[in-house]
Amino acid sequence: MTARLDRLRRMLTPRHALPTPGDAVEEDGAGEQQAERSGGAPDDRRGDRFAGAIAVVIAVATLLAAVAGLLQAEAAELAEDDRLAATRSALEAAASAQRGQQLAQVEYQSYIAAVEQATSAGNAQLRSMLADEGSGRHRQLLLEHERWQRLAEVSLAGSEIGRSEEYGPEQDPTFPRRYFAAAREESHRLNALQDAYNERANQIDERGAAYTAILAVLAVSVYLYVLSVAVSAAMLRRSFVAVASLMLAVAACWMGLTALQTAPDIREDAAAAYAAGRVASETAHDSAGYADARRHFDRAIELRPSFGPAYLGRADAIFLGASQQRGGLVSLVPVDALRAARADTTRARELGLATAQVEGRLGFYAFAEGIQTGDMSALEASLAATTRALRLDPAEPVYWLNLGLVHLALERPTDAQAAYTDAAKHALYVDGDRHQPRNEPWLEQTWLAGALTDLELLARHRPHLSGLVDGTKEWLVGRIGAGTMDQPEQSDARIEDVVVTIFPGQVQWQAQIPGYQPERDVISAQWYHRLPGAEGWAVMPEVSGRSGIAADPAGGYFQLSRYLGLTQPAACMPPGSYRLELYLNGQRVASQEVEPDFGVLEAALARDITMAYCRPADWQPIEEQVPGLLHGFTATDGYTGVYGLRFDLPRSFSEVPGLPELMLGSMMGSMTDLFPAVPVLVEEAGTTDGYFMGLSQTAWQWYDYGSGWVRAAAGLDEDGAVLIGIVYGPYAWFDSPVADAIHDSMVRHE
Amino acid sequence: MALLGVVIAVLIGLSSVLSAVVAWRASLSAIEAGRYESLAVQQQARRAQLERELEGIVAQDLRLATAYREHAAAARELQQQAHDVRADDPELADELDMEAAGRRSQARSLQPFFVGQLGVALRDDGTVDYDADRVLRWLREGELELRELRPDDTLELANVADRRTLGLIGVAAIFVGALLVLTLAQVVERRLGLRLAFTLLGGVLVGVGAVTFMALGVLAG
Repeated sequence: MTARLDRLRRMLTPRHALPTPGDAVEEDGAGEQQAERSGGAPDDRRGDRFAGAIAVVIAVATLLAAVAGLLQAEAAELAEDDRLAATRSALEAAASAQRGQQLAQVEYQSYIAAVEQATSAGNAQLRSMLADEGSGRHRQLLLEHERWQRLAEVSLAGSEIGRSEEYGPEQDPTFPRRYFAAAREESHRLNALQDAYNERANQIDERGAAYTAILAVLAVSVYLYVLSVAVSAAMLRRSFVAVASLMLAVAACWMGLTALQTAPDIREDAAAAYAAGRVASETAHDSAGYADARRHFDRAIELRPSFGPAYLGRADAIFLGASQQRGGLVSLVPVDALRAARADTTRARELGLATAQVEGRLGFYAFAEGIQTGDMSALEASLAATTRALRLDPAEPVYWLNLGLVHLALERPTDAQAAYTDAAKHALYVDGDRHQPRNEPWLEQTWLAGALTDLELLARHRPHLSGLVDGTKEWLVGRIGAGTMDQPEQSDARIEDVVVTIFPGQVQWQAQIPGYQPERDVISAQWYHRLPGAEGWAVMPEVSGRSGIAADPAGGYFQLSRYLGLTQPAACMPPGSYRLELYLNGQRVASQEVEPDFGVLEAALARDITMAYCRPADWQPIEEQVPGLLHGFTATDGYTGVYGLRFDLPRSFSEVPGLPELMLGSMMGSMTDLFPAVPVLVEEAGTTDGYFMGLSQTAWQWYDYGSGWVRAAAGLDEDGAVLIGIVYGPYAWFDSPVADAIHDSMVRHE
Repeated sequence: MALLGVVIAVLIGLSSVLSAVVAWRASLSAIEAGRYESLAVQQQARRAQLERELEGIVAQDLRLATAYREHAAAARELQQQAHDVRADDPELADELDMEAAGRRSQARSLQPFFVGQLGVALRDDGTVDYDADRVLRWLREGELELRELRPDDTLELANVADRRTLGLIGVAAIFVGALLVLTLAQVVERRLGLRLAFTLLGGVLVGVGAVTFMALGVLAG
């Protein structure tokens, strides 16, 4: 009975409960009996086996820890190597950029020297024309002309920038942008390699961190194993062993998985493709140029799918390439392109490029997409991204303008007004500090033009917001457009009888403005343009603004704003519709639309003869160009063309009555080989004195060369030079508006 | 006693795991500090690269401006001389006029080659209206990447990560201390008072370590 009770008590007593003294005696007695039955000390043997097993496991864990330590050291070294390589690439890129720029500048300087020498040759030739033919002075000047001509040829041959070379002024409308951009290609490549090394170092660092964690887990595991030997309670011992074994198993698996990871190769070809993309993008000025850049970025991404800057470059190429806007801040882009650009920019952000630029672009892309598709979540995303951009770069007026715009789109006018106030402050003052006026009207107008274009886009897609949009436009023109944060003054002036004229190279409005007081009233003209078939209007910052309003001698006021020569690359007024909005002290008082009919013309800048003009795109520069004297373009068959000439003359010549007419006659008589046949003055058409480039003593004449007309105009410049503009072509060609458009496009350009 | 044994075991397990996590976080933080330090050097190099490029543009323009000034000023001087002698010697005046025109045309021929500013002009005082500081400011403002390269800020991030690493090492030391004390508690099984004291101290150390670890995490986040 007692034995049964003892057995029952042992069964009910938890195995880990500490034995009572009596129990110990009994247990000990039982142990002794058991030991005796088995012929030794069984607890000691069990303890030895357990300790032996733990020792083996600890040895395995220690071995694993040693391997982990080795792999961690290796990872740390590899990561350090890559970081050093990245730093070296960054330094080499800096050195390469400087070296490339210096070498390019040497070539550029040689090219400029050639131009100066060619100008000297032109000057000598011009002076020889004024000297008595056959005289010693005449011969001397002809020799001087030849000498400079030869020097210019030698200088040009010594420079890698030829006039018609790939990067020369004839092939690159943005000259010298492409030339200098190409000189930076190697530094872009090195910067791309720097990015690749950094990325790989980060990945290796992650492995190193994993090994550190594995080491820590193994250390704890070993500790728990050791502890399990030290404790006597069986349950605790088993718990420690269980946890330690679990940790050991986790550490072993984790280490295996980490060791299997491989670091990516450094793709030199991806870096080269990226560099080519950057150069193509920096020099692109049309859709074809951006498409070329996109192809390079595609290749770079294909070779290195985790290449953040390549995604960003491609996003830019897609966005800018899809827009037909070529001036100011680009806003009008089709939805497909916006989606693609947004996706690439988002990817760039995910890959670590969370800069203000990236956030700002994401904000605008999301706005433009959301407003065109009616996707409210895109507008909310735009708000979030723009806010992040402002957190990173709070001094950028464009982000503030975009913030105001998104608030308007989300119909939060109070928030919009606050953002626009900040935008105006940052546009007009450096860092928004009222003590530091920016005083850059051109830059301020560029921001204003961008904001007005965006508001126009908003009103088109949210017609019910038109009232708010109009009010915001007036507020912005009244501040940024007027160059002050102050409330515009009240005025009793009125703008009436507005006449708008679009020339190929400039725009003009004329109006009666009773009550106008220039010291009180600020008139700001905002010129909008819309391409044929397009829906969106974009403000042209080059011709918009408040400066240059003058009294018209015929009564009223006018503002003639030049476009030709103010864009990069130089361009003539693009085809399409134009709309003028006139603001008087922040109030829109007139609006008018016109559609000129001169078609597509391209710009020709001839600073050496102080002229610029427009001409058909397929015309080629003449071979007979003389710097400082003659500039021109002709059709490939030579039957149509345009010439500009400048004759620098002694001041005493200015006193000769009708000097421009005389020079025109003399030139037409002596330079007959510029035309398909000898031109003869059309006497019955007479000489008229219409407007020509703002010059005085103007003379317009018609000539007939048998199969076509020559329309020539001349005038006297304020420095005593005579400027001549000539357009010629078959009789029928003069029925088209092109001939007149070319003449109308001629402007003084220094 | 049994309950105390379980508590000690749990505390040992907790402090073991936490010390492993803290050691791992400290390692990550140290790596982050190293990454930021390297990035700061690279940003400094990139910044210097962009700055030198922009300064190179201005320097190129200034070289041209010097040549331009020479031509334009010579033209002005020649024109003045022509004006001065015109009454007495009209032929010489004409000759000087033509020379002046030639120098003006030379000056004009340089205009398209200015990169930082669209053209220049000669002021009345004989200087060229090329404000190098202003052009450099424009160029810098137009270079958005330059505005975002802040190596000092990146270096500060590296310092923050360094400080966090030190803090985490301190926390790890606390956990190691806790482990030591709890091990002693486990060893002195038969002296209840001492065992309780060690357990209490170990528990406090684990608590302090955990709170400090969380605080460092919040500060870092």
